[in-house]
Amino acid sequence: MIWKRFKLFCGILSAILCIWAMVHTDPPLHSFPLAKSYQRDSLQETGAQNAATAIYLDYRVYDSLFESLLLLISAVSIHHLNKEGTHGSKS
Amino acid sequence: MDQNHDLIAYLTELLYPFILLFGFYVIIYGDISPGGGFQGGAILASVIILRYISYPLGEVELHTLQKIEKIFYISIVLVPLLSLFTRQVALTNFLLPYPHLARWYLIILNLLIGFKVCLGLSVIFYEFVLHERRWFK
Repeated sequence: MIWKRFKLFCGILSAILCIWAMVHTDPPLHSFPLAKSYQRDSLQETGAQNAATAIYLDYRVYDSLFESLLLLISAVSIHHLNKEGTHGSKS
Repeated sequence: MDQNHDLIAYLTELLYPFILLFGFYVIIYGDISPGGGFQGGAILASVIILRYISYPLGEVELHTLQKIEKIFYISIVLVPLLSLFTRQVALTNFLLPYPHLARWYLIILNLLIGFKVCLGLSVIFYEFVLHERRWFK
């Protein structure tokens, strides 16, 4: 029992330490050259006022494409698996 | 739920236009404010789920919905490819040579993604519902 509590305590402590380290050690901004170029050039290069929109509808549009393809394939597969008479007999 | 409940049906009917308005707002202003096609599409799909709550026995033609969804997906693929003809680069904004129209590319793509996600989520929901209805008949 005590050993279990000790392991739980250690887990919570390490999680708090991880969050503290992530919050209090900001990486300097010049270590993200791509982010800066997105923020600076996205309006000229894509016509989007928001950098997030510029990324998901222009620079990385295939991400949106395959995300919606994932939804389409899941709908089609549910439709396929749901057909009457494809799994066992009705009770 | 075997029969209509008039109170729930009436209240959900009152809610329809507000949910539709909010969904279209999230989609159309998705390029300059938080939101976008997927989120707005999920909000629009909630209208179709509410329709099931108010009229549980209404019939839905799922084949037609899926065909429309596939057509929307093909157009989502084709709209970014239009930039091959205007800018000779694939998968970017094809309206960028006309700066006052450049925002329309984002709005069109957000609308297409929104309708497609709405149809996909409602098809998945109704598949499960119809499956249960068939199974426990």
